[in-house]
Amino acid sequence: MGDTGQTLTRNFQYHSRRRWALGLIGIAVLGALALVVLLSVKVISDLSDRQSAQTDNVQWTLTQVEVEFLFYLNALETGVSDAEPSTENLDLVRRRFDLFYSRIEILDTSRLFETLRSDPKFAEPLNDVSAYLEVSVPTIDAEDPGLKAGLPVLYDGAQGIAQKVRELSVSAISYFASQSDQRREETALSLFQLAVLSGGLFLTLTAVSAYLLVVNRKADRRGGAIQQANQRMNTILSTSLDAVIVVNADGEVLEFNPAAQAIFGYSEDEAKGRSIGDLIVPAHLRAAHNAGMERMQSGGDRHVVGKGRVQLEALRKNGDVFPVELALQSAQAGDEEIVIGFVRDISQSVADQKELVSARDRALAGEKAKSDFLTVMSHEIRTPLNGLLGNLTLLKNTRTTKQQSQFVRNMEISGQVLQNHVDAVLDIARFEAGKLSVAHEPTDLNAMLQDLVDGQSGNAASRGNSISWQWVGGAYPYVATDAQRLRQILLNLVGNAIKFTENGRVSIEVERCEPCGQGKAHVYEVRVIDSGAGIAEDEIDAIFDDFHTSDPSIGRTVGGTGLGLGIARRFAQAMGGEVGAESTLGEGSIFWLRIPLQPSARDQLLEAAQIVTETALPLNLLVVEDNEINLEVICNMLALDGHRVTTAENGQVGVDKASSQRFDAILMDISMPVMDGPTAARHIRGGQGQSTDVPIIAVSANVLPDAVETFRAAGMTAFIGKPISLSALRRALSVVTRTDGQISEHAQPDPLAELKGSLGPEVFARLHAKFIAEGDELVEQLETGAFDQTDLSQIAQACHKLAGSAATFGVEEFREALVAVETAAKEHKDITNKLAAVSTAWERAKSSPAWD
Amino acid sequence: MRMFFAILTAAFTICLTPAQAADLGTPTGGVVLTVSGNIAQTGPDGAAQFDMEMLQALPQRSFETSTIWTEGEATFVGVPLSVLLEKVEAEGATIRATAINDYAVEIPVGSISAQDPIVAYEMDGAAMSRRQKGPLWIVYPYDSDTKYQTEVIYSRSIWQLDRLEIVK
Repeated sequence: MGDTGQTLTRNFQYHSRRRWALGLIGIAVLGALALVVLLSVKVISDLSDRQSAQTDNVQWTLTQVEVEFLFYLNALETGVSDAEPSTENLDLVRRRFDLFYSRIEILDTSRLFETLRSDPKFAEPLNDVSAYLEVSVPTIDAEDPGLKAGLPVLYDGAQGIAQKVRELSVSAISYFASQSDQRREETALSLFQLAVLSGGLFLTLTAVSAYLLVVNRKADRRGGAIQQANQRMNTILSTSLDAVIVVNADGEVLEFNPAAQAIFGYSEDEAKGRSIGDLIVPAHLRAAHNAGMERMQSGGDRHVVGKGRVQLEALRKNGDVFPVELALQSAQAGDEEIVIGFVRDISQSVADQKELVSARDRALAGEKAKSDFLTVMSHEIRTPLNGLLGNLTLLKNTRTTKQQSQFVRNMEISGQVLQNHVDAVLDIARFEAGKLSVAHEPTDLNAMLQDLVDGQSGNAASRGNSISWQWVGGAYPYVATDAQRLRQILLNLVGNAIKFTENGRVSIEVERCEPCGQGKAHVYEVRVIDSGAGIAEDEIDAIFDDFHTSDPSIGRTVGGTGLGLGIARRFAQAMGGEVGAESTLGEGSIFWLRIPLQPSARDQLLEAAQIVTETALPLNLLVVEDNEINLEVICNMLALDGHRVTTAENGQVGVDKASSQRFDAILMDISMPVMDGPTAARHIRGGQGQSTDVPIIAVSANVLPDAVETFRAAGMTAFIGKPISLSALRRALSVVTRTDGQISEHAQPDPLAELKGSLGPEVFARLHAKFIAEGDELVEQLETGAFDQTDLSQIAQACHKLAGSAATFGVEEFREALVAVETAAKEHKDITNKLAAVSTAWERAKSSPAWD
Repeated sequence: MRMFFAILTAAFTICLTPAQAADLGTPTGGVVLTVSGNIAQTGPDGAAQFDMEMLQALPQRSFETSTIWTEGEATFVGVPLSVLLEKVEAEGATIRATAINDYAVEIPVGSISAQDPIVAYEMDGAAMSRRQKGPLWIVYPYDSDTKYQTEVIYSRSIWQLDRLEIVK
């Protein structure tokens, strides 16, 4: 609308300018015409002056004066010469006198000679001649004898005025000649002016014609442009997919384009002139429509017009009500307001949208079903597998023949493989669900790789392969990472290499590369190099796909799910790294893993190691489990470590037993009849029984993070996945009992011996020396007041660090003293009275015989 | 026989002429105007002669006008030229008018209307003397119409008129 407005303004300015120009030209033309008319009149009057000249033939008159005079003189001469003139002669004299007299009278009275008479050159001789005539009249009029007597006098007088008569004609003729010249000049001037003006008028008219021609051409062009625009507009209207309807202020249809006809089912003739409300507004919206029309007519607020797209319902000729998208805009057509409506039939898109929503709902339901299926499957597969593997473990501990032991080991291997497959499928499910969590725990790459090579050496040897690993460049083994996943990746890569190599070599290289930016982690590259069959170039990209086995024949001989590399790829991605492969067919392959790893402090590693290696004490335990085989497996495993076990076959029984007796810990199955594990846990925690605060360890085949979270929310302390392994059971029990401190009353095993055993004597000696140095330093600082007593947070930090190491080296008294100082410092209490205890405990620890 | 007829015709013609001359009348005073040429009514000399009395007896017309030759306006009385021509039963295309001084001018018969010009014999109630362009003057009513203000008309306004000749 803004554009149109500007165009209108421009047009208006243009038109008013043109009106001005035309007005000026008109005035100029009129003025010129008036002048031409004026001049023409003057020229015509000049000409008619000539035509009706006031002049007669003056020259004739003047010459006649002289001629008549000469006749008169002649008559007198004849009379005078004759001694006795006849009457006839006298009459001739009289007639000649009269004629001459009448000539002079004309000069004397005629207005032709009026101006001439004011000229003395003319007037003087005229007066003389007149005077002669007047004097002569009595003689002429006398009887014949009188005239006869007077003739000589008349003759003499006539001779006397002869010269005057001559002067008279000459002066008059020269006067009239000059006057005639003047008149000619005047006429010539008038004609010249007329010519100039006519020329000017001609030029003006030419200019006006040219201007009108230009204006006309412009108008033609504009007309053409308007016609084109109209044609375009018609084309747009007729090809528009949206209905375009134009109505006047009363709501009567003015335009109804083909799309509108198709959508609403009315022909153009049917629609035109009818009320738009009756035509396409469904009954339930008609009241609102009418109100809107009334508002518009009275110039009130507009709710829809000019407010962009609105979704409404409309009515077809056949009575269908369907959804439309509507945009209304008003415009001024002449002095009437019109409303233009663009209507889009969106019934199809609304239907599509509904379809889409239901498809999404179905997909979500499918996803849920898949997740549920995996949960159930992992439970359903893991539970019997748990039974199998558990019983195998128990079987190993019975007396068996050598052959039976071999069979058991074979079965155990097969069981482990099966479990790995199930775990692999679960890992993928977890990754796809976005629930793959990555831990950051202190890890020793040396130990991991050595374990890996050791573990796989048998496998490699069985296919005639040698296996080894080494650092390239410096060794940086201590990193924080998700050790379990990293191990899995490497295991899959190495396992794959062994699988496709026969009588060859598998070597692993580890290299730390420079970080790619300031403050970024170092990228570690692990290369698994084999001298196997190699992979065709066009297969390289496909080998990391799920369920891919490079060659069906090989696949069959080596076996496998085809998930190994896929899992490796996913884990690497989850940890921020990537895996890849390069290969030459027939020469071997290199599989590489690049992964960013943060370095880890060595003492953190010690803390982690201690947890793993801590041995559980004989405990009083409650096991709640409905599956009899599983129950037996767990009970037997616990019995191996000397724990005392009470059993319950479902949650309700478990709750009852836990309230009547205090246990060190409770092992709780999740899915059970009567009452499930989480519910039982909530009851135990919420009840008044003996075991409300003991650790509850969830035992479940459902290891999805969601499920684990549910266990936690129910008040369960820890979690063991099925199938249960003895080591996992031990670790869980040790963690649980350690954190709640319930086991402190039991006999303390020798933690230093444990540590020495797991770290090796050299490492232990080095770490121990470092610990003693740090302890000495801190105690000395505390004693001498080297610390700023006001900087309590610094003291707290130092004590916390040393307390961690003290726990590792089993000096409990010292650790407790340090924790007391730390706590006091954090709470801004006085620490001076606690410092002595620290010194005492430190001295006692150093003098302990175990440290030697 | 042929001779007889010629004599008869001539005799007849001679006999008739005096009878018609009697219609025209005979001038008793001085002859002021002689009309000759192709006319039916003739006097003794094969021309029609008029004295002032005869002219004054004819139907007259008078008007007031100025002239370029006289001072102020004057009232002219005279006999319309057309009346005069009718009187002499003139048959011709041109009239040759001649003045006393032998000034002559030709007036086409077609230019003569029923009223104008007149052969004036009176100006401001008095007869015109020879010294005053008299006694006869062909006058047009110059002031009544610009068509009477041309040089041709002025030249035809012959004064001291004494002869008219009708030319075929």
